[in-house]
Amino acid sequence: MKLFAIIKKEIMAVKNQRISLLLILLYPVIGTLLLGLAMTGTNFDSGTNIAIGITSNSSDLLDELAGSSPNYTFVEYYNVFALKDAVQKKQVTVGLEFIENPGYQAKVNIYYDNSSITSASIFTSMVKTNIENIAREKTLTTISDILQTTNLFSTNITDEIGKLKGFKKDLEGTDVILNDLEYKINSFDIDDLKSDIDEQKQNIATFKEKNARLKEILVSARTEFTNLQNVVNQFNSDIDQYEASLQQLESEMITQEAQLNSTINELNNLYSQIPAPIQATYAQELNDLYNLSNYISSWKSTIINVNNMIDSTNASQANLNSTINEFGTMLSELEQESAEIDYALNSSEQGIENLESKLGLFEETLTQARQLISESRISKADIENKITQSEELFAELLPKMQSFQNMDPQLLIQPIKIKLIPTQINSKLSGSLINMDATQLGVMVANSISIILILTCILLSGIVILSEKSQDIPLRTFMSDANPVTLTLGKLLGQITIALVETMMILIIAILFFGFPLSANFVGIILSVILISAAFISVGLLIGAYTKNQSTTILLSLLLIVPMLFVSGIIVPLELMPGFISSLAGVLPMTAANNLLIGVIVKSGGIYFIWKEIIVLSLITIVGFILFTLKKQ
Amino acid sequence: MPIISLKNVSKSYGTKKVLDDISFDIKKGDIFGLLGSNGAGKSTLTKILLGFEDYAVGKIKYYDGKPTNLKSRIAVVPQNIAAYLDFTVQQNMNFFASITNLPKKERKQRIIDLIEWLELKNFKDVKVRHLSGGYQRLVNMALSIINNPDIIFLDEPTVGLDPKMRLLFWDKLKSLKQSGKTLILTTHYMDEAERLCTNVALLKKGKLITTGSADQLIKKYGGENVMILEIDQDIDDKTVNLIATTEKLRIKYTGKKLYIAFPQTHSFEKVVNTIKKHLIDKHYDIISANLKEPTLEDVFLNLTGEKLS
Repeated sequence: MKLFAIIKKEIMAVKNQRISLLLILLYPVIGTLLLGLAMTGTNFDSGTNIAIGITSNSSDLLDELAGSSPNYTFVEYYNVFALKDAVQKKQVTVGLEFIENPGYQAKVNIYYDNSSITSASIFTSMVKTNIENIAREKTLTTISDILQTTNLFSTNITDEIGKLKGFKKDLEGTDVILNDLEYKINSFDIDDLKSDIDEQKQNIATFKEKNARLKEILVSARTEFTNLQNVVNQFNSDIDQYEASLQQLESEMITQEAQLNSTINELNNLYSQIPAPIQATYAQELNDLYNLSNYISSWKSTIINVNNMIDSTNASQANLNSTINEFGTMLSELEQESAEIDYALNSSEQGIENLESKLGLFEETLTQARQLISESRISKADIENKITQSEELFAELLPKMQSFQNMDPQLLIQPIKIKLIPTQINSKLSGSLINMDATQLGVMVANSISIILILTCILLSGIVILSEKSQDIPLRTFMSDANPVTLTLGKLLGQITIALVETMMILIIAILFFGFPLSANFVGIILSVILISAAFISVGLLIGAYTKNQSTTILLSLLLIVPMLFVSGIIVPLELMPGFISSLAGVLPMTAANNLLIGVIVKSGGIYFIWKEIIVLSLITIVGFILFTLKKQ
Repeated sequence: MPIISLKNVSKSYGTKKVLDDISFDIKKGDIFGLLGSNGAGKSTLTKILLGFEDYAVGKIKYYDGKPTNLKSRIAVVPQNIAAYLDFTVQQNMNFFASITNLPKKERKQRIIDLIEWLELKNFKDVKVRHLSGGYQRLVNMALSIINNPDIIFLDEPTVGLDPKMRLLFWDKLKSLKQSGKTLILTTHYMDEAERLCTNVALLKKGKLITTGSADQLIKKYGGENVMILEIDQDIDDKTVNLIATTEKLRIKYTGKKLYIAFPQTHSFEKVVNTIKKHLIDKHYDIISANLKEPTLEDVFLNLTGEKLS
């Protein structure tokens, strides 16, 4: 019974503190909900959006990577520096730089923010795994291609061996034909034919020579002679006609001259009889008649000259007739020559007939040989065609085979070389107790400071305020001469001093045991810790001011601290959380504190990376300060 | 000239009236007692007088402006030990002195004087947590009056103290009064109020029952004196009735004890002699005769019908 009484008392103790009871009931709800929501992002089928920065849109690998997960969203940056900057500013989860060269090993540089340890390990592994899967697919495709080509090559080689056997058979058939042809050719007395041919060749040569000369003479002589005869005959006839015509013309012109002169005289008489004024009118016509008379006189003398020339031509005509006679003689000589040629031709005719019969035999052999050649040509064309086909086939296969020859075995094993590049300077530390690089250590120190500060500042300041309240100290301080702002500020600065001492302890341990560099930005760390602790203390002061007992203060503090730890990005990456949770986390003091410290310790980008956190923490401090001061009043 | 004057002050929380038409004056140099049972409105009235709470109706006049402007001249000695328990007496004194407007030199001297005056010299380097309840209360008062205020509100300052410490505390309060301070004392202890207070206000359920000096109130509302007689044998009814009728006194009796009430105006000796004469006649001998005078407790009981403590 006593035991039950004690159990009942314990339950009643909680039940009677309504706020504590409410917080105890809220804890599992809020904690589980938040952690659950925070973790929902780890289910990649639920549509979590992962932003990936890239330097170029035109990449086969990018297309394959985009196809590997529907959760990826790609953001293009104009160069690697912009990409790294975006990764550092957490605008994208990871950055990818594709360096592709067909036929060679592709390179993928994965830029990740190593100042965010959980994010870096999860997302770089995820993207790396996806790319490795793509690489494996590529290797599989290449090996399949090689196997397919090898199989094709093997099939083709078998075909080619069949073809070569066919060629061999064809060549054997050709060999039989050639043997037959060889036999026939061997049986042919080629020397006898050669002797006859030589003899006939000689005869024919003589014949050809004479016959050629004769033909030339005959052709030219007959042509010239015929022409000459025609010309001479025509010439004689024309000369005779001209002579007769000229003689008639001469007599007619004499008559006409006489008549004209008589007419002119009559006209002169008539002219002298007409009055002087009228004479002028006919003077021209009379003058023309005189001219005509003179013209006829000149023509008459010309005709006389021509008659003289014809007379002289008659002498030449006699010479010409003599020449023609000589030419006739020469033609007779030619006829003699022709008779001799006829004789030579008759003697050759018999030899040629003999040769013709031998040639007939030879022709038959040649026909056979031609047929054989024709058949051989067909076979050759067939073989050539097949060889061409083989060449084409091999030409088709050869590049592939050559590509396989030139293929780097490394490419087959590892078609994509992945390099993980942290965006922060990442040097190994000497003197460190554990294997940790500078960035990891920086992040560890930042996480450590922010976790310790949130626990101590909120809880300590909350409990201090509560304990003062329970002792009526606010009444005393209110009644003092110090104004509320001074009282709050003093409390805040005092707690900040304690936070600074804690930070010093963390830094000393980090320096002594983990090799935290002495070159670190200690001024920045101290200033950050002042701001962070001010924000946390403001929250703690408010909790202390608005709660009435210690259990409520602790529960409410933890109710704020634990979810803030869940969603701060230290345990679960912010990128994995649903959008509204990660947005909310961004303005929570724990997240801001952690990011601010990482920004100061790890990143060297100055205020560029931390201005948002400074604003968030300053706002929390100012709001907390004002609310607490008002509450005190 | 009253240092604080209340006229028709009322206050309600929602529909519940917690103060109803309160009017009284507190004179400079008074130890003014606010007396009443739980829920009488003492705390609300104190908060209003300190300026922590507003009041809806009435007027409160301070000798020098509003209470918020008088912060440095008003002190509160809360019922709780409003000190940092893990600080030493000296550390607490130093801190609370440092948030006053006293000049540094004066501050130091004030601390020395207070430690001396409150007999805390031997405990100045002891953590408050480790002090006895009485000394914690002295420290509590020291911290409240460190800025040398004119008006001091004390909320149940001697609760839980042993008689010795209680007497010491009363001495210190009297000493403060003598130095010209005005003390406003909230207490359940009627003897404390009776001994210390120059004036008291009796409250019941937000209403002022009466106000005045303890003597005045006792005379006015305390009722009759009571004489307690012890005799040698059990008394009979006839004798008692005879005395009561003859002398016009109210008498209660049980066995050998008689309780005889008589007006405060009558002399105790005269009444004893009268009663003695009747008893001797009837062969009774008086063994002892004691007087019980009325107290503020009686006043409260008579006025409210309930006991305060």
